[in-house]
Amino acid sequence: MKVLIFGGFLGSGKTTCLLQLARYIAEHSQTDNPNKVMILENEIGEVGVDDAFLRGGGFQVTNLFAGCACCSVSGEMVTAAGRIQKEYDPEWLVIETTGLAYPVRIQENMAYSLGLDARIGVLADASRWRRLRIPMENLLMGQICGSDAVLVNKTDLVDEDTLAGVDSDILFFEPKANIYHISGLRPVDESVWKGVLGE
Amino acid sequence: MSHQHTQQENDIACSCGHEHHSHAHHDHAHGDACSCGHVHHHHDHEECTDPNCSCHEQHCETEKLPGIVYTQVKLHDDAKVVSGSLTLVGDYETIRRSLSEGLKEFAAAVTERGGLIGHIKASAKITGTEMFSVTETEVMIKPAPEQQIDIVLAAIVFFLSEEEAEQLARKALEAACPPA
Repeated sequence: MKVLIFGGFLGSGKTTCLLQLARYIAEHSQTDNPNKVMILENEIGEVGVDDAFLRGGGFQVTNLFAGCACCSVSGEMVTAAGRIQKEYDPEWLVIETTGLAYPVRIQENMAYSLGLDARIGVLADASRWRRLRIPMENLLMGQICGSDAVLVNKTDLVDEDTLAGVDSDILFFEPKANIYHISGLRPVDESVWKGVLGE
Repeated sequence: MSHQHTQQENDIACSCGHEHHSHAHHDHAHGDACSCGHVHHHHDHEECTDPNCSCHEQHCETEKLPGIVYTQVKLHDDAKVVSGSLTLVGDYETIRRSLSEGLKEFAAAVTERGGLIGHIKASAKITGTEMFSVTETEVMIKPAPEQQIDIVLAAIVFFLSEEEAEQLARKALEAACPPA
């Protein structure tokens, strides 16, 4: 079971893009594993909104509500991931984090507890970046640091100067960041998903 | 072992004409009967050290009554995390517009008060019923006049108090209620 931690700040478009990513995985799999992709959906609140949306896309979704997988429900996250591996052993497990999570902490937890090497893909919201950059700096930086791919989303809503500023900030946070520009409402190029999945 | 869970106790008046509840926290021990009057159930999350209780964590869950707005709020670092739900029976198109307007006002109010929106989102599950009947050759299909709409709301905001965040979320859900 390969693991992808799909993170990013609140409202950055994680769920919308995850639908596309899951379809890409399902359609481009080269294994005979019947379980191509499973999603572990983490919501910090008591109710879920995104899980219903993902199920509506035809994917198997396991819920982890009422806490954040990087901290308050980190144990439950490991239990859930371990159970998915044991019962289904999908080709890919994609963990959609809460918008407040630090993906690196989840990655460390997966490695330590289950011996699984997880990749990290993080979304950044280009349209709200300037608004969030200062008040949410620590969180944004913490989410981007250590990621394998940063998808700058909603690029259709900003001009080139703004986009260059977002890229500059991301590289300041994580000098080794692999940055991709996308608009989650449009078909995302396959090369982006290859980058996210490390193919 | 004790822990907190939410309780809905205090009736408040609402412009939608329905009876509403607000939330308070209280403690009780595993296995104890709770006087909050709500339906409780247990989940087996982890091994429990309490010999009288098979669960690790106990939740308080209310039976969801149509037309009543349920909300609760919790703090996560600096974020105010609000969860809400509301079940309505009526015309979905009307409720859809009203809910959309309510959420728009929620967002505007957060910004006006100097808050920052993490996200404000809701989902609506629409359940309709159609009755099929046949006595001779023709099948009669009659749709029920109204639909049941189960709305859940999830909001995360910053730089507002917990009370403000919950109040604004409640107002957004109340906006979806048809006039009494």
